[in-house]
Amino acid sequence: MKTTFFKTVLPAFAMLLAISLSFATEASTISPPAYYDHPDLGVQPVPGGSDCVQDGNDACLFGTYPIYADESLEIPLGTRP
Amino acid sequence: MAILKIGYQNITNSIRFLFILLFVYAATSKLLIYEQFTMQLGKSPFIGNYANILAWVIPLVEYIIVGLFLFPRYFRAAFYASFYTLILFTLYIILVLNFSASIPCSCGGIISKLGWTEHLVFNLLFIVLSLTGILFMKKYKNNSY
Repeated sequence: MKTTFFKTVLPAFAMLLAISLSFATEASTISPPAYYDHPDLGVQPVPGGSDCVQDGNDACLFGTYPIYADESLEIPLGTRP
Repeated sequence: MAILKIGYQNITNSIRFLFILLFVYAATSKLLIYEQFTMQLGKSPFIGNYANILAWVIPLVEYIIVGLFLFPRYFRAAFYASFYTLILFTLYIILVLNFSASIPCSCGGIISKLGWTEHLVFNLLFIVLSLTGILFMKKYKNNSY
């Protein structure tokens, strides 16, 4: 009984829990939008958004361009501490 | 001695439970946001050129490790695979933190919300757990679970 529990029930429970959790936290996984100032094209969105934060440590870059949280490029984003 | 053995087995099973939880969660979270995950990998220094392949390979490796954790004869292999995978992830984090100007995170789920220090501590914790699993499996390699 105990062996069956450890062999089958416990892993199945762990997998179900993990799949449920991944669906439940899917919204928090999607990165918020971010923008950068392209010299030729102007303000452009960063593909896939960014995980960087306001008041972060070092400036986050998209290639060589610093990125911002807003389209008016007033809120710079930095790396998470 | 029997009590000690049961204690080792319970600890090993608990570690197994945690690893299954971790890898299924991480892999599923990555696949749920596959396109964004690929883009994040593409922005990563060092591995950006291989983003399309890695976006499949990383979750696949995580699911394979979970598969190994399901069969008693592969428990030890699963612990070793987990250990080396986590070492690889940790080395990548250290490399990116020290030698890269931009630091994108390509982790899955709420793990991506961890700071880099927390991420390292989290990885180190699971490395210690995998080592514990390997050690306990060695101690009782002849006993069936």
